[in-house]
Amino acid sequence: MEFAGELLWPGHLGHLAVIVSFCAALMSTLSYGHSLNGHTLSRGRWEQWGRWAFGIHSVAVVTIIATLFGIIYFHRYEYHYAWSHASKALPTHYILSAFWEGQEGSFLLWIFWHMVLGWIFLAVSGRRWEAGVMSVLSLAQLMLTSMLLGTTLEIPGLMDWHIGSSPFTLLRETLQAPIFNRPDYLQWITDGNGLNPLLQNPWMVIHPPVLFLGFASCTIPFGYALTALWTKRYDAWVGLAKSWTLVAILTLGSGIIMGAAWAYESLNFGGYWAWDPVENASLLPWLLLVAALHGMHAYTKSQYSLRSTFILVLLGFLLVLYATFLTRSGILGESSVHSFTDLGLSGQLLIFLGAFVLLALVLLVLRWKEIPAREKDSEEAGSSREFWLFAGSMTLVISALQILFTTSIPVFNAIAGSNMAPPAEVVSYYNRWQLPIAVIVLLLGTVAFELRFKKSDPRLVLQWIIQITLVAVVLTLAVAYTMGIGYWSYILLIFAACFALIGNLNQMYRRRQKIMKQGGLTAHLGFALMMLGVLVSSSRKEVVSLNLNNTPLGPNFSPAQTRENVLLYESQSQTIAGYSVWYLGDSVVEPNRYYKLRFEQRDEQGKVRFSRTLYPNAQINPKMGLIASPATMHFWDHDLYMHVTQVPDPASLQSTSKEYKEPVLHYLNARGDTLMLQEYLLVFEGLKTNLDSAWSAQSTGAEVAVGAPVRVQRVDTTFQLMPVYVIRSGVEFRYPDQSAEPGIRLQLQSIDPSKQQIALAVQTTPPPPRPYVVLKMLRFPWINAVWYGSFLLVLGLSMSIVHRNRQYRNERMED
Amino acid sequence: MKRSALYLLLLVGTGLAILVSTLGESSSYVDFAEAAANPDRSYHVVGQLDRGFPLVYNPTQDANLLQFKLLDQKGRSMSVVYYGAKPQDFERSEQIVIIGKVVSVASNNQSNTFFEADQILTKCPSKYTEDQVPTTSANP
Repeated sequence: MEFAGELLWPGHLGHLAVIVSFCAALMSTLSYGHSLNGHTLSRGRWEQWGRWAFGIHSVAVVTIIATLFGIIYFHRYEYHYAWSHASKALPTHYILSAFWEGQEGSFLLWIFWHMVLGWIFLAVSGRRWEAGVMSVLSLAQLMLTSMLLGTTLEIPGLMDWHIGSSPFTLLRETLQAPIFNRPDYLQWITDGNGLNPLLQNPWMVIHPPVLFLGFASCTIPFGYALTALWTKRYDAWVGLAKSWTLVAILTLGSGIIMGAAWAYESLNFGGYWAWDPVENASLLPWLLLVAALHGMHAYTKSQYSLRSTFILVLLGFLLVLYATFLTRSGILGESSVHSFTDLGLSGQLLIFLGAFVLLALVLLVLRWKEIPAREKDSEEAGSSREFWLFAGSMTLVISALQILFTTSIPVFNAIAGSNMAPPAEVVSYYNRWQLPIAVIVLLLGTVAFELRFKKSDPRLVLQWIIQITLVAVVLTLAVAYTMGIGYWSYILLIFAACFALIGNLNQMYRRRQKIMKQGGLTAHLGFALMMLGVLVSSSRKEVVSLNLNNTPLGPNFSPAQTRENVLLYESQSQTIAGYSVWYLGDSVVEPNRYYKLRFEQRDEQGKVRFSRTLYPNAQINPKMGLIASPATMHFWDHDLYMHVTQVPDPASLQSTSKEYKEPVLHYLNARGDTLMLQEYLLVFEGLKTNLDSAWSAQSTGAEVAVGAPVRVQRVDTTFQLMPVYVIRSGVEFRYPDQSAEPGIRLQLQSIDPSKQQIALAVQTTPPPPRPYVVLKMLRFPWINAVWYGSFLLVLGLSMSIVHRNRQYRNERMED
Repeated sequence: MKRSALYLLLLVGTGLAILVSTLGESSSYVDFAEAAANPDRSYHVVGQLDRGFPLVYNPTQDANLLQFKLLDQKGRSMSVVYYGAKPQDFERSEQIVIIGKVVSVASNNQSNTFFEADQILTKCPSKYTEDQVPTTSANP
């Protein structure tokens, strides 16, 4: 059947480009691999082949990306990928986010960075390592492009393998629906499914590319390590791979921090880190590479710990693959909120992981004995810097192990068929392990700078430690006292962070002549600041929107439950965290609804001392319900963070019934008696027997004529109503009185003059639905330390890269 | 390499300690029968919203009380109480994981058993990639 309006050539082009890129990656792997083993004479020719193949591969990759981007950009909804990730209302910059929202697109991102890094590597690194590193890189590209193939290998009765998932499949090929039997089906598919609203955030434009750049740059140190093992050049690779390891740590670290910033700015779990499996999966390779970096440093300075450095570098990349497997195979299932949906690629992902594990393991085992260890005569001194670097690396490995075990619980379940769940208090479980580790890392990392390679004078070091400790103790007590932190393990971490802060500052001051060499110190300083911020902001984080006037819940409920949400009616203020908070209505900027909240503080004279307006927003999404995004008030020493947790359905606010309800009888006993009713407060002002002229018609000639003036108060107004009771010729007449606008109606039912008691029949209209928001508000003290610390960490790493490259250039000049 | 061997030993030891603590601390996914058998122990229960019973969440009266019934995977239904705001897209969720424990409260000679959830996770895996052609297109 011919389908009208379909544009098929981009799909064919894209698919063709996938196949070409796959084949070229295979070519490149084989050529480079062959050159690694070949004779010296033919080596150059094979390398030439490899380079050509990589070039073709790169052209194909760019073609795939351009094609897929075009399909999304021009809203070609005949393609499933465009239809399921984009929509017409999507602003242009979010087209990018839509591109990498799906698994295929994010694989493409990774492939793209591998390709770019490959060319940078070819441009800046020497030819000597080209064949090895490029063959590993090409092998990774081979595996990655295979994920996009979308072909089926079928031998009837024997196998039926689906290889990869193509981003170029058509909507009608993917979905089953009667509509696809119509040749003109496309004209009824007017819009796409759209981008997940949680991802419509500026951080989501920048976070994934940086994170994947981080993942991709782990491949190059891995390539160096494998090449070193393969070609038995155990020494020279370390210095070269070090720059790339720094790049990987920098980019992966920035990616992780951006993810944390995104979580803090636009998700509403109230924090920047939740030990979610997906977060952990990206942290694991980072920890390993940081450990590897310190191993490399120890090795380049004093030929120490080469074997463990090999292991750490190899593990860094393998954990990237493991993270990929965890997040993309669907195995995390219910233990994570944001893994990808399963595309049926788990088998292929396992092969990807398994192949590289096997390769690394076999090479490592074969060469283990040959990897040189340091000469025995230079005895390891406990006071040598390399030993402390090694100890620090191992501590980071322990940290990674703990995260790995707990994150892998779903994997254990899948293997053993058990039904273990993560610890119920998962955050405190992680913190219990990671806090002492952070303390050790901070202390080791600070002292190490005071130590010399080979051997230092313990007396001098001890002296330095004591001096720094004294200052740090004072600072620790000051911090703990001002922040009200009394828990000893927290104080220990504060001490470690203060020790690191002061120790690093002291070192920087002493080495102030050579600023560019202080990348390491800067990064360590940043880490210490970050840890201080993490500890204070999370241990002293408090919910300030405590609901103090709860309705009683009856005997079935345990009391003293924390009540963390506050109800705010429109135009009514509540005191939260020392501010008068007003909810002033909402406004809509599609697709978001902004809730206007005004924060005010007044001094004793009633003058406004502080006032700010915030707009926490939410999308009331037809597919996903209420998606709230927080708004944050930033101060230099703390943040006030808030988001709505519930809002009324806008439709329910429009239904205002003006019908009076059935009357209800109330007794008021004496003058001044009050009655609370819905939104009204009624005050009985005493019986009135001498009615004024307005009532003359009713009261003239009556035996009894009594009015019951009642003052009616509402939030916004006060008015008086006076129902009147008359007996004329022995017959009772009751003249009700009601508010000008339908709201309340009073009728004087009977009077007991002896007691001055009246019976009032009260009718009200249902209370007008009042707009409200349910708000949750948190206070994060010292959160800026986390961000400033991360910034210093990133700055320090960048300085190290620049310094390292200068060194490298000098070394090359000397060659 | 004596010192490194020591470190290796330390590493393995810590690894084992982590493993033991993970196993010891880990909660488990159970059904209501098992959770009720061990009241006051924290569990994960996976299930679906029991749509045969009304969900009670009335923010104008108490913004911090959510009551509903959950059908566990064996089909048993139990009342769940959660002291907090209703999670986003709660009614739409395909699957709900509640973390907490079974509590019995005796009142008026009647014992009342319910699940007190400390945390609620909702999982709507396919809601955004849900492959459903919009209904307007099915009936042109």
